[in-house]
Amino acid sequence: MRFQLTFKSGKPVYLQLVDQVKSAAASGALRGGDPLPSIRPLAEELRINRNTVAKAYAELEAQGVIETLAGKGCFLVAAASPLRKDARVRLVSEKIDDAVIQAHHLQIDKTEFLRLAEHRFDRFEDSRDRAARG
Amino acid sequence: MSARTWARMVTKEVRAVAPIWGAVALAMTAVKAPHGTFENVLQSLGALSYFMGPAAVGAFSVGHEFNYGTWPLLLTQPVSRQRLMLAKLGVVVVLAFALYGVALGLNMAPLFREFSPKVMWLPVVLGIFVAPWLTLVVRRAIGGAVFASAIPGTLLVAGHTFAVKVLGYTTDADRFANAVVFWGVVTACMAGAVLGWRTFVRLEIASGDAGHAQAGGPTTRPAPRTAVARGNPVVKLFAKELRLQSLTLTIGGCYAVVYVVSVLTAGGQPLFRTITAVLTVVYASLLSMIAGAVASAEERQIATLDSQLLLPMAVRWQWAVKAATVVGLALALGYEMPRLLVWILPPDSRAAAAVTDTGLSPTFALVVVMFAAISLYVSSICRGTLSALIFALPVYALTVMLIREIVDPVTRTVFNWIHVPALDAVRSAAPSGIVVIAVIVALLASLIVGLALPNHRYADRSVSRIAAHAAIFFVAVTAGLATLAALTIQ
Amino acid sequence: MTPEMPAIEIDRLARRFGRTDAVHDLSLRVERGRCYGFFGRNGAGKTTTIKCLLNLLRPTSGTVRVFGLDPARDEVDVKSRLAYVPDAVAFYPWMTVRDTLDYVGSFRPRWNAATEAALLDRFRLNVGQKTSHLSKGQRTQLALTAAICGEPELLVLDEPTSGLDPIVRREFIQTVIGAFQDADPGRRTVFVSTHLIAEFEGLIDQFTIIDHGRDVLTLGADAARERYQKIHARFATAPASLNVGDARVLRRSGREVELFVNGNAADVLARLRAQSPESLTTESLTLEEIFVNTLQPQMAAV
Repeated sequence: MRFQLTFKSGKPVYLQLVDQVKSAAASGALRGGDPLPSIRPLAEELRINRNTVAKAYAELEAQGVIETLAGKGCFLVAAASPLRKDARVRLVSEKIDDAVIQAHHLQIDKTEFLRLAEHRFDRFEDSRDRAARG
Repeated sequence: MSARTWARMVTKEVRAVAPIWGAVALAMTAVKAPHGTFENVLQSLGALSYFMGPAAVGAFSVGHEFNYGTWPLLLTQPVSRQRLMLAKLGVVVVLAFALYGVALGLNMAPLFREFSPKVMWLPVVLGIFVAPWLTLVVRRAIGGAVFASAIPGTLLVAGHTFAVKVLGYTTDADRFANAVVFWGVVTACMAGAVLGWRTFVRLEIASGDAGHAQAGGPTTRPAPRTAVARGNPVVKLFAKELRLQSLTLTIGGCYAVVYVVSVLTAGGQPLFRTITAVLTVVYASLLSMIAGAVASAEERQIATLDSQLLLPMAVRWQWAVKAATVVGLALALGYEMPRLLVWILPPDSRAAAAVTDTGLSPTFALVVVMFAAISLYVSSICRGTLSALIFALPVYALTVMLIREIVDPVTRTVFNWIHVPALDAVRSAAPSGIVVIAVIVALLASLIVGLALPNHRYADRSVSRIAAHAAIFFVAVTAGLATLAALTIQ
Repeated sequence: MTPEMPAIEIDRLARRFGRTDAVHDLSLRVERGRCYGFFGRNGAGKTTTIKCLLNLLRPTSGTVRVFGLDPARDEVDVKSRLAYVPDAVAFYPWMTVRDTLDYVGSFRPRWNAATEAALLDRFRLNVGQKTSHLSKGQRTQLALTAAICGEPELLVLDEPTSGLDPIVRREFIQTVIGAFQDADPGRRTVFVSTHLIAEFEGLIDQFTIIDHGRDVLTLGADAARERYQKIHARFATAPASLNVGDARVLRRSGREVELFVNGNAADVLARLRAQSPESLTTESLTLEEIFVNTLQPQMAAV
């Protein structure tokens, strides 16, 4: 998975790592059993303090999001977490908020917006079904 | 500390200083040159090399860290200052005694017979105890070596002056002077041992000492790039060259002071007995050698060379100004100043011969010019001033021996061809021998200086280029000698 | 040595040169296992401070302690636990890379040959090459290799990446993180002085800014980024007067205003919201921006 760190958010770096792992898990980019990058290579790649990565991983492990298998590394916990649905809903809500603001700026009213949303959802499912069949 | 660590430390110290030691030892062998012309010159060169050798070794054992900027590397290793100093001093002791051994082996003792028999020890003890300390104080290898080597001579003149004033011209005065030298050196060594140790243990390295851009050294900023030239660039360049030669000027100044004090205090014809005449010759030689050694190597050492080469003035003209400064200073301070001092402030008995009794005959001016030119050439190859000075010593000896080997065959060849009528006409129109020699020397010096320029400006030191220069010089010397012989042999 | 002994402790350090104070009344403390940044402009006194840590200079007054020891009195003990990469890296010109590593290694009781081989490989250094023929970047890499292989507890870096190309700079930082820090994470300490702050931002967890020989600001990195913020507000019409409380106005043009806040973001935001802005965004400052704003407030409009 790709980490996107920023020093401009005011959020401590280790928390950014924690949140991004959790988001990835929630959105399905990371699935249960997937390995996480080892501490040292990740720290080198992001060019951040090694202890920051270690702290993030420790926090994730404390929250039960990841587990360490001796000699093999860190892996995402396979069991379904009760938080997942909430996190997923939150992610989608954020995207919808962005779309709502755009609609407001471009003077698309609520009825038209909902109609558009339904239309786009149907199209997405159609193309996914076609891809699954063909 | 393990034996392996000691071994590595000592090995590194030896490797750092070995080239200097080697050059000195090589130059010392000049005393063993077979009999022939210029024998005195060769023997003097050999003796001078021995006299400066241990001091150069001692100075460089500490000085090379300044040159290469390696003090932080050395002093941040987990080893005590005491051990570092021991390693350096140990190496200096061994190498200095080795030079003493070489001197004995080359049977150099008779050369110093005019002085006290103990004089052979002086360079050794000064090199071990005084040179490293002085180098730490002035933070330049050349400074430590030169000032340490100058101690015996200065003490001798001072002691002699004082003795003559108090005791008159007696053998007691001589003994007193020798005692002053002996005890003066002993004191200097004790001071150097204690203070040198202390200075090393408390040595501080500020940013400016990282080998380059020494704080407080000669300022060599590039000329301001304005459309309207502020001041003549040649004058500015000349001023910069003078500042670069601050050591040379200091030595000249010290000589003048010593002379004036000596004459005013004690005066006297005996001042110009052989001993002092020798000292004046040594001074003049050394001054011209140092003037040449500083010119190129110092700029390389303090890293101003690149910015100088980028100035909007043709490098050959910069080089011409530099060479002119070097030769000019060598002649003015080394040759002319002692004679001028004798003329202005003559010793008491105004013997007409007093002027020549400085030991500096007119032909010596030519020697001074050649020393300066050769020294400048060697300086264009070397990385630091002390290296340039020491590596030039065997080069002088080799040059003299080279010339000596050419003189006889050339003279004989010319003699065989001498009866060509065309030559007769030329010979009758030719100026006197000394003028011809002077012209030839001037041309040779210019040749050397010109050959040195590519070494100075280009960072690569190619052996093939230097070999080509040597060959060109050889040919030029042969041609010059042939011309000289043709014009002067009857 | 108790575990709580800080790696570096500087207390009211002062160092004069002639009549000028290169460093005056400087205090800082570096706990073990930290990566400590020492930021300052050129000539601020960073190198002088570091040289006092290494007994290359002695303080005029004040105390310096490395692992609780005085570098001047317990020189060998201190130096056996640290390694130094200077800004002007110099080696003995006749030595090859191999010779230099052997030379430096001979002074150290521990020398990690595996790390040495890995780093030489990573930096693609030719062991047979003379150090005088190395480029500046390669010399720095050699100095870093020599420093790390001795397995010191404290790595002191003085402007290590100045003048190096971006690839070498990245590799340098990665090597400090990986080969040095990772080997003993809780106990390996890094003290780096630099003016290339953006580069080391990820590595630093605490820093001190020094200016004209005095310490101006000491903070943790995360705390600093939380405290220093830029607020950008845009109004429907240009407001006649702005009530921004303690914030400093960086830029103001027409309907937009940009503010710099130090710790009181909530208060300033509340004041601004009271004036009904069209848009209101906040952004944290990077360490480099904090540096610029702290030292040159008047030119901070970036």
